[in-house]
Amino acid sequence: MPNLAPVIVALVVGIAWVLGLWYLGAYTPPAVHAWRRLARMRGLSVNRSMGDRISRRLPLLQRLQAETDIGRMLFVAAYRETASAWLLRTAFMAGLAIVAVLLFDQVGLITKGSLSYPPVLALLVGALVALYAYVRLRNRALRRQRILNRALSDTLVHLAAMTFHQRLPASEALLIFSRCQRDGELTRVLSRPEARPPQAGARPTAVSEEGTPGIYDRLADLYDVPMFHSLAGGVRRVSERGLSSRDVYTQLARGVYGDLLGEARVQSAQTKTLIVIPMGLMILPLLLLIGAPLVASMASLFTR
Amino acid sequence: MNVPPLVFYAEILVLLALGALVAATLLYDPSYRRGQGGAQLRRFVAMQRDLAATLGMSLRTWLVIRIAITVVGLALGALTSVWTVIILGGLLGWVAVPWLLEGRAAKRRLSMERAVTALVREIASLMQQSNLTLDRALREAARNPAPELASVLAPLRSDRAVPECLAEVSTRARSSLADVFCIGALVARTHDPAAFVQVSEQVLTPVLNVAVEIQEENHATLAQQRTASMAIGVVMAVLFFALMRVSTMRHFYAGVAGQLVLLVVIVIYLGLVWVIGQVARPVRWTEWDVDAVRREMEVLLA
Repeated sequence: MPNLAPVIVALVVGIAWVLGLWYLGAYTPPAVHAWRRLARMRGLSVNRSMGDRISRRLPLLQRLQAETDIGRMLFVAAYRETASAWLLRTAFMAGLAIVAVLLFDQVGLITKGSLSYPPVLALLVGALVALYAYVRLRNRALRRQRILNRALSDTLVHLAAMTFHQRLPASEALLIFSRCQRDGELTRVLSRPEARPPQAGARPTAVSEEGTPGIYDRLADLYDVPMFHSLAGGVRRVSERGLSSRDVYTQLARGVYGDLLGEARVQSAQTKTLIVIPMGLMILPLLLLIGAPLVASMASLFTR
Repeated sequence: MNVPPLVFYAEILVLLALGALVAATLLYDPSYRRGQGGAQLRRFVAMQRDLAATLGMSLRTWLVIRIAITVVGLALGALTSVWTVIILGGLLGWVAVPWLLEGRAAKRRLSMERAVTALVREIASLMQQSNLTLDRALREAARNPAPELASVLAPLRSDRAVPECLAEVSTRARSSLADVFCIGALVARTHDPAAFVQVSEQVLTPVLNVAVEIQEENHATLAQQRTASMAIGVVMAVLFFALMRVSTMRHFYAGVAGQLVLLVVIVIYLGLVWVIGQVARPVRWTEWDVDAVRREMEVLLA
C-alpha cells in the first residue's frame, strides 16, 4: 500500500496556506480594504472575534457564551475586579474548601486509622463552592439588570411631566430622577464614562456623534437593559422627529407599565397554581413527626 | 529516610493550607465587603419600620413585641426540657410574629393604596372641574380624606409649604404607590400643573388601579395559604405536645436522633413557608427619596 502521509501533509499545508492568505486578506479587493480601514478609523466598524461571529449564528452557543461571560457579568453586577481576579479568587475559595475537607479527613485518619469519607468528596465540595460563586455572581448581575429596568420604567411617568414643555432635556431629567432613587444604581450607571458624551476637543468618532439616544442604546447593550433602548427610541422621536415630549413619554410610560402589569398578572395567575406544590408538601413534616419514632422503634425491634 | 504515607499526606495538606493562607493574605481586599453588613442591617430596619408603620405602631414598640414573643417562645420550649425545642421555640417566636401579622399589614397597606388611587382621581377632577390650582386641589382633597389616609394626609392640612407636606406624606405613607403620587405632584407643580392632569389620567390612575388589583389578588392567594400553613403549624405543635406526653415518644425526641428529626421537621416547615412567600411576590417598585425630589425641584426653580 502506498504511503499516503506525504500527500496528506502536502494537502494540509496547502489548505493552511490558502486559508492563511484568505485570513490575511490577499483575496480581498483593495477598495474593500480601504473602506474597512476608513470604517475602523471612524469607529463605524467593530472587529468581532471568531467566537462572537459564530455565536451570532447559533443562538444556543450565544446563550452559552452570555452565561459564561464572567467579565460582562462582573461589569453588570458592578464588581470592581477583573474576570481573571474573580476566577483566581473563586479557584482559591474552591481550593480552600478542598483543603478543609481533606484536613477533616486527615484528622479521621489520624484518630481512627481509616478515612472518614472518600477524598473525592473534597473535589465535590470544591466544585460546589465554585458553582455557588458563579450562581451568586449571575444572580447579582440579573438583580442589577432588573433594578435598572425598574428604575427606568418608574422614571418614565415623571419624565413625561418634567419634560412637558421641553424646558429640560430628557437626559438631564433622567439624571435628576436617578439621584432621587434610594438604591442609587441608575445614578451609578449614568455617572460612568460610557454614559457621558465625549469631552470637547476629543477626537471625533462615531460614538461622539451618537447623541443621547446613541448613549442610551449603548448602555442597553452594555448592561442588557432593554428599557434603555425604549428610552432611546423615545428621545429619538422627540429630538429627531420633533414629536411632543409629553405625548411620547406618556405613551411610553403607558406602554411599559402595561407590559409590566401584564407580566404581573400572568405571575399572579401562575402563583395560584404554583402555590399548591409547597402546600401539598406541608404534609411531609407532619408525617415525619409522627412516623420517625415509629420507624425508629421498629428498626430497633428488627435489629434485636 | 522513609516517610510513612500518613505523615506524607499530612505534610501535603499542611503545605496546601499554608498556601491557602498566603493566597488569602494576598487576595484579601479590605474594602470588598465593607458596608454590606451595614446595608443588610439598614434593609432589615427599613423592613421592620415599614411593617410597624403599617400596623400603626412605632419601631421601638414593634421590636419590643418581637423580643417579648421570642422570650415566650423560649419559655414554652423550655417546658419540654429538650434543648432543640427551646432554641426552635425562640426562633419561631422571632420569625412567626411578623409572618402572622404580615397579612394584616398588607391588608391595611392595600386599603391605603386604594385610597391613594382615588385621591389621584379626585385631585385631577378638582383641577379640571373646579378649576383649582394643584396646590389648592391637594389642600382641598386633604381636608376631607378617606379614613385610611387621614393620618397620612395630615401634613397637607397644616400651614407648611406644599412640597414639604408632600415629602412628609410620603414618609408617613411608606408606600411606593404613594411615593409615585407625591413625586408626580411635586414635579407637576414645579413645571406645569396641567401635566399632572394628563399624567394622572393617562398613566397614574390606570397603573395604580391595576397595581392595586394585582396586589389584591396576590394578597388573597397568600392569605389563604398563610391560613392553611398556620393551621398545619398548629396541628404539628399540638401533635408534638401530645407526643411528648407519651414516655416512649418523649424518650425518642430527647435523644440525638429525635432532636435531629425535630430539626429536619422545623427546617422543612420553615422552608416551605419561605417558598410560599417567594412564590407570591408583590409587584416591586423603585424606592424613591421624595425629600430628595423636593430638594432637586427647589434647585431647578432657583
